[in-house]
This record gives sequence, structure tokens and C-alpha cells, in this order.
Amino acid sequence: MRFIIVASACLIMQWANAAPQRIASVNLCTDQYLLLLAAPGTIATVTWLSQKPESSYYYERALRIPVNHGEAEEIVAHAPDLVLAGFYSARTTTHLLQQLGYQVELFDHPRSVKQVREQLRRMGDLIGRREQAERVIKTMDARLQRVATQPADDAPTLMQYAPGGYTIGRDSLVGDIMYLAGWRNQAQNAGVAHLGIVDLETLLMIAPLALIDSPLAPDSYSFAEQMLKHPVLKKTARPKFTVTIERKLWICGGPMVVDALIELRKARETIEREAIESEQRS
Amino acid sequence: MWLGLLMGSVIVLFFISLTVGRHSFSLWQTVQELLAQEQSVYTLILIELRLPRSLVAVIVGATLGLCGAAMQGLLRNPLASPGILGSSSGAALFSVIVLYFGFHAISPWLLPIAGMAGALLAIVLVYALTGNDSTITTIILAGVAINAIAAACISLAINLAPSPYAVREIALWTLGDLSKVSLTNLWLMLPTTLIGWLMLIGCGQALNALSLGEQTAASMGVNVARLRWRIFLATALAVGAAVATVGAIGFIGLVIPHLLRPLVGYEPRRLLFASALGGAVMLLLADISVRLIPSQIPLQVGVLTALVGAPFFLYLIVKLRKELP
Repeated sequence: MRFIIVASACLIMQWANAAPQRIASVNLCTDQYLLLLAAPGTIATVTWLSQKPESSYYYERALRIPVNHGEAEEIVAHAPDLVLAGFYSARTTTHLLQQLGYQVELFDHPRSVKQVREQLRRMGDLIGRREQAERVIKTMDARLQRVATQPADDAPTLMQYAPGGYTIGRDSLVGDIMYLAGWRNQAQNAGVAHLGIVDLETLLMIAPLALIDSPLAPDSYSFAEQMLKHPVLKKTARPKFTVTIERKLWICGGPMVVDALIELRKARETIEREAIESEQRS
Repeated sequence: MWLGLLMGSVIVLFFISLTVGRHSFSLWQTVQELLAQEQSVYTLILIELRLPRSLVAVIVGATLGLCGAAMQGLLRNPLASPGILGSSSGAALFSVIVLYFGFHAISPWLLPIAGMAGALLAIVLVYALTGNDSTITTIILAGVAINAIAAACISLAINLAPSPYAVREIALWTLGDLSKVSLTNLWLMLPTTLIGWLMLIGCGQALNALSLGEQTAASMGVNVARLRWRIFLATALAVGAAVATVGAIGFIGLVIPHLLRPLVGYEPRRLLFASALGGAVMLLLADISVRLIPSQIPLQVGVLTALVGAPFFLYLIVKLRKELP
């Protein structure tokens, strides 16, 4: 008899603490964490961007999940028991859902690999998958251990140069990965710590050795994108190289950022080798 | 006298425009490096960034001033200008379609040609809606309608465009921006612009005759219908190329001819050349100011021309109301 009471008490407690079963996400990056960690069948909806191979690392897992466009109506229709959102995207939706009494959890964009770890743990706790999160972190850290480094004082310099002249500084996930890949990010020479705009004149003055191209939508057209095709960039001696990193590797937090790091590091080593060879030749 | 002063201002402002930027360096030294055929960061900045920007400012400003003067002379209407009559927004609409949907990848020349077609379509539509010798109100109303349709279609086209950066650029097409032009843009816009200018400059005598009334002009041997089409086509060529390159910069074509008309003795022929110079001065001034105003995000040049031009437009309306019975 006593055993039954204890057992049913346990059951009730477990039921009360039960992990959410209908999770909705209105942000590409919370989508990625969910697709990585959530138990099968517990994701009610993710954003439409998560089904796009160019922006979503786990797009294959998202293909069978209903999508939303960040509208409150779409989310309410799924009657979610947990809503995940970004700090800055779909603000009206998250406000509205909070007012309607839904549990809304906001995630800021991670600004370092360390914050990615913290977010994975937080997500794990929220959806009752802490163990999975720890496993993912362990594998990620093991890979990082092998490849992460720090820029030497004479390390080659680079800058991200996105359409419209946007560049990204040290205080960001992308900046952290550049650092761990052993590049010196020149964005700070333009006074950019997090995110900022650098005009072509300043780019020519700073003259990083390489530019990072991380296209949001390859082969599309706009004035902003034409800026990267400005003829002056072909005539100048520096920037000399362009390193292309697939956007889905580091647009959001997750273990895939290590892949971006590895590619950046390989690109740096190739460029350094070339520089040494051309010095020996001359 | 006034023409000399204007010409002098264009030259002085052009050189000032070459020296203004995020980084300051000696223009003289850089020119010497250029003459010695040395390449440095400064020569690149000067030749590839500042020179095209300043030249395009002169060319676009001159186009807008000249076309404004020609249209005002032709329609004998103080409010006729590329911006009011919708040719700027028509050109912007067609350029947007060509640019954002990748058609200019087929041939870069499609861009100025599309701008021209859009400008021509807008002028012809306004003209068809109002006819000759229509009142100021009808012309403005027709212009407002065409502008509204074009602006709505621009927003629609940009929203449907595949590029994720497109939406931010709606402002560019309605205000204009000189910060991204390259020498390539300059070469692309030059031919149609020059043809347009040449066609307009030859219109001076006919416009003088027309200022005496259509019948008088006809009796003096001016074929008014042909003159009209010539000016429409020339304006479309020049404005189309300008808008396709830098977006629709407003108010220069409206304000400049008005400011200069008393100075050239109200003679349409002399006003053409003066307005071209005046337009160049105004756009150079605006573009220099935009670069001098410290702002994190670069300001668009059309913001300044509108800030100066719109109050002037209001003043013009008040003045017209007093003159009309």
C-alpha cells in the first residue's frame, strides 16, 4: 500500500514536471537548438527559414515539421506549451503570446562559444533534455580542444565584409570563431566591437589580408550586394583573398560552429603557406 | 556673369568633393603619385571612389536641373519637373525590376535603358492624362497619381525581390544615394545622358519662341508637337540613366530653374544651361554635406535635397495662390 502511494506520488510529480510536448519556435536560432536537442515529436512548429538549406544547418530534420512565419495566429493554432523566441525578432508576436499567458522563453544571439554552451544547457533544461545537451557540449568541446587556437601577433588579418558594408567585431559569435581560428579580426580598427558599417574608403585604409564572404542568399541582386563587386576591390593589393564560409555554419549557435572554425583555420594555414612559399621564391 | 559664377562654383565644389571623405589625405600629393603612375591606397580611393562619386554628382545634378528647366519651358508650367511629373519614379520602378530580379546580369546596359523606358512611360502617361495647356492642378494631380502608383509598385517589386537586402533599399530609390557609384556606373550612364543633353540643348530657340504662346511659336516655324516629343524623349534618356544609377533625387529639377530664372532674364534658352550648372552645384553641395554630417549610418543625399527643396515647393504654392485670382 505504502509502495503504491509513493509510486503514484512519483508519477504525479513527474507529470507536473513533465517536459513540454508541443514546443513552438519563432526564431531560426532557437529552431536550430530544438532540432538538435528535442525529443522526437515534441516540436510543434519551427520557422519557415529552418527548412532552407542555405540558412538552416538542420534543415533536413525541419522538413517534416509544420512551419510558421512568426505570426501569433500561427503559433496559437498549435496550442504550444512552450514558445521559444529571439530577443529581437518577432517582438510583437512574443509580446502578444506573453499577454495571452503562454510560456515564452527568449534567447539572445550568443556572442561567444561560451554563451553557446550556456544556451545549450538552458535549452536542455527548458525542454527536459539536459542530458542530451551535456552530450552535445562534450562532443563540441572535444572537437574544439583539437582545433581551437589563438591568433599570433603576426597572424594574418581579416574582416567580414557583408553586403552594405556590414562587419562584425570581436564581441560576437562570428568574431569569437575568427579569434579561435587564429585570425586577427580588423573590425576593431574600424571601431566596430559588435556590429557596424565600414565604407569602402575605410576598408581600403585598414586593408585586411582577407575578406570573409558569408552570403545570405547567393546569386541575388541589390545595391548592398553590388558593393562587394565594386571594381576597386579587384584593383587593390589588399584585401587579397576571400574566404567563403557557409552562413548556416555560424549564423546561429550550436556545435556546427566548430565546422566554421575548422574551415577558417584551414584557409588561414593555406594563405600562410602560400605567403612563405612566395617569399622563398623571391 | 552669373553663368561664370555658377561654372566657377561647379569646379570649386567638384574639387572640394574630391577631398571630403572618411579619411583625409593630401589631394595634391595623391595627384603627383598618380602622375608618377604609382599606386597607393590614396590613388585608389581618389580614382575609384571619390572621382566617380563627384563626377556622377555633377552629371546627375546637371541632368535634373536641365530637364526641369526644359519641362517647365515646354509645359509653360512652373511645377513641371522630373520629380513632380513622375518620370523619376517611373525610371526608379523599371530600374528596380531590372536590378533586383537579376536582368542586368544579362547585360548591364539594360539598367539605363530600363530607367529611360520607365521615365518615358511616366511622362507620356501624365501628358495623356492632362493634355496640353492644362491647369497646374490637373498636372499636379496626374503627377501625384503616377508617382503614387510607381512608388507602390517599387515597394511591391522590392518586397518580392529574392535578395534579403532589397527591402532596406526602398529608401534609396525614393531618396537617392551616391555613396556606392563606381567608374563602371559612370560609363554606363554616360552615353544616354549625353544624347539627352544634346537633344535638350538644341531646344533653346524653340523654347524661347514657345514662351510667346503656342500659336506664335508655330507661326515662327516651330513644330510644337515634334518639340514636345523631343523634350520628352531627351528627358527620359537623361533622367532614366541618372535614376537607374543613383535613385530618384528629388526637388533639384523643381527648385533650380526657379531660383535661376530671374538671373538669366526669364529667357528659356539661357535658363537651360544655367539650370544644368545650378543643378550640379546643388547636388554637389548636398553630397558634400551628407559626408560632412557625422552619422554612424551614411545619410542619403536625397534627404538633404528634400529638406531644402520641400519648403521651397511650399513657398512656390503660396506664391502661386496669391497670383491666381
